[in-house]
Amino acid sequence: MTSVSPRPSSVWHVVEHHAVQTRRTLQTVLLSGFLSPVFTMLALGWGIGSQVDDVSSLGTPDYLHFVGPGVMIGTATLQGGFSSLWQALAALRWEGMYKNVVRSPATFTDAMTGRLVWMGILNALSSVAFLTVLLIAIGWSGFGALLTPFIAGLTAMSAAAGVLAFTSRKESGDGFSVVARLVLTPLFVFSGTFSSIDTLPSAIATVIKFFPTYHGIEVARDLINERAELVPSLLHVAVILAWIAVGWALSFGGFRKALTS
Amino acid sequence: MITNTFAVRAIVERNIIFFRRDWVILVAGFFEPIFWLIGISAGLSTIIDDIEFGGELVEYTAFVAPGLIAVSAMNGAAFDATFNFYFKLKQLKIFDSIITTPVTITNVVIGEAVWSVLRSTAYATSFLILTVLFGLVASPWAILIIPVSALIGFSISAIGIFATTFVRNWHDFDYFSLALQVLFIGSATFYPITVYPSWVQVVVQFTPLYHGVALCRSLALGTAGLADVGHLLVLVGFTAFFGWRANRRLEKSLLA
Repeated sequence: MTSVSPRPSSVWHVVEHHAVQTRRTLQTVLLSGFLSPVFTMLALGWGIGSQVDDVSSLGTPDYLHFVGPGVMIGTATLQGGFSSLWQALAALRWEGMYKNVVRSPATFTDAMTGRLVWMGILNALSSVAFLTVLLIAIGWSGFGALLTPFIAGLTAMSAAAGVLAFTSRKESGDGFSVVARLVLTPLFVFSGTFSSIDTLPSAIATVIKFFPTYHGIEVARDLINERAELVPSLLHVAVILAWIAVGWALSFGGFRKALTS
Repeated sequence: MITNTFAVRAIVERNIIFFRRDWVILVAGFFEPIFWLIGISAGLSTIIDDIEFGGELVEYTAFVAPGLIAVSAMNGAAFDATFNFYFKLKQLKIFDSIITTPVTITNVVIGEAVWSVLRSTAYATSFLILTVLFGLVASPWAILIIPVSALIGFSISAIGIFATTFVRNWHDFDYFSLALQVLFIGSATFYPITVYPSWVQVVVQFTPLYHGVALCRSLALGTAGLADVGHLLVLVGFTAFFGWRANRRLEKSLLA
């Protein structure tokens, strides 16, 4: 039995594999990870923004300052979560990519860790592009904004890890579209993305606080609006990290069963 | 040939039998616009004043809800007319087999469109009932949203099948997802079209969902007028033109 704790060098090889593979389908990243969210942010930011009378209740200078970070982190959630559905199942079972990985010095934990790390890097990178557009639209708001791609990367990882715990136990794609539509879409829409979470029905507001997206949006919004405080921000990040850890741990059994038996 | 209703019905039935196993997917698709209605308007209605539409002031939630009915009609048709159509056309190649029977390509196109429209209408009608229950509908004319949603479904289905005939591989569907998102957000769904600069307003007139949103909105709010006849004609035009072109292109490729 090989060691179960991931080895950095092996994890990095898996990351590199995914990077090479993604380069071949760069168009997907460009369209769904950049153009689509940028359009959504600008259309809603300016369109809805023009209808908002009472900006003061948002706590931001205008609606774009509010919705921009929301769409950024919401998109990271969708992208990360989606990557752990059909794509992950294909790598784990259909195409057998990870079966090849475990025939090398790398282990099944390296495979799943590398996959999650890559999703974090990829979404941090596409968030840099998104952030650039946002900052052009709202103007430079201080160095704190430069930290938001890290938050986006971590949030994408947490969503990827959470969904991977589910997918790693599945033999087929049954139920994937239900996860996409009934879990990922609500996370995008209900995490205080478009208005303060207090304005949502209280049942939704209570449940959503257990999920990483809400916490990612809070930190990113504070950073972009130059009002982030250290301790609350670290607590939000801690929730996201906890999701990554729990998702990782729960994916463990599924990966081991699929790749070592 | 077109009037071969038995052949068309066979194509529709095939889809019904297929989705009977996957009914959860159908049900899940219904919820998406509801999430957006709650997520966007529940919070924003507290900070957005009433919006002027058709000369009347409308509460924000009542303004957004009919637009989302149109969106649900679009979403209902879009997946079957594009992704699933391609799967049947290129992966399963079932149309190649079907046209060796008395069923023609035109029957296939109409049958697939009718199926996707059934899905559209089912989503839109359930959503309509919900908006009535929430008290967001101001006019009995709203009942006409049901046939309008079928028309939205037909136009999206015709455009979708037409566009799918150009698809080379699965990655091309990334463009479709982007187009759907742009239509969803950009068709004056969440704000009045007057928000746009005038050249954008002109561009939007050339897209299908905007006309569906405008129709559903004026029917729900009881402000329907002559302009809506125009919206109706545009949707009929989209359906006829792209349906005709899609049929032509499939005849060329499948009978070649």
